[in-house]
Amino acid sequence: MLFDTTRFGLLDIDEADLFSVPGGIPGFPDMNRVYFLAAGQAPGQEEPADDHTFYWMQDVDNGDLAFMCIVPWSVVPDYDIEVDSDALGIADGDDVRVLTLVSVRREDGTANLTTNLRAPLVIDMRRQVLQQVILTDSMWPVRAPIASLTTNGAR
Amino acid sequence: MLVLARRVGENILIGDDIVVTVLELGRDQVRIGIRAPRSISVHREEVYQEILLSNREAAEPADATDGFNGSVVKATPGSPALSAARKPS
Repeated sequence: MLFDTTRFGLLDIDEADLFSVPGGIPGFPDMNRVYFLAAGQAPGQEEPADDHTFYWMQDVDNGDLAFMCIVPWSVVPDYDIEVDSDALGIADGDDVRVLTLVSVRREDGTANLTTNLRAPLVIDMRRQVLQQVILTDSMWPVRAPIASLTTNGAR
Repeated sequence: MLVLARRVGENILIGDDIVVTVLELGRDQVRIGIRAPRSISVHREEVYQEILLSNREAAEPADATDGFNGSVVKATPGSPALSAARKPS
């Protein structure tokens, strides 16, 4: 099925590869179906999916809406979270992945990247369901610095 | 807004299955216990608002990140990174 997106143009996606997001995420209650793309991959180059650090999460029902995500352990190797597996409907032995959302802030030709370690995306690979979990009793920051990049042709 | 006076240890019921209990009174703080079904999410408001703001910030319109996309993390369509096909059976 074809989905029109602002960043990636027309995407031909098998609906079986979509992830559902019941109730959306805070601020985006209508984002209920997403598709993940690997970022930083050269065109036509096949790479093992698990090796990526950055992903794009594209809302397939709103082509303008995409989030950059990162594997949090690539930033903070000792990142450690506890989630209520019963509440999330995760069974023992399920394949669960965790990504965190990345924000880019621009200042004077510098792009500051931070990621939200307080509210990770918990992804149940078996049911293909994603939830953003707000860690209640955790000191992980909402804006953990990843990097500052100097961009060419700064606006 | 409904306003109810309660003593420590007394409950308020919301619907059939949400129980709010006043646990402890301090000088300018109240400790509250909440028993609710797991499908109901309970958050401190300021934390929820912070996450909401952070999410909005993360959802920048495409043109705002163009330069960044092109040079550093170019995404390639057609490669389902997290796909059903790759999950262990």
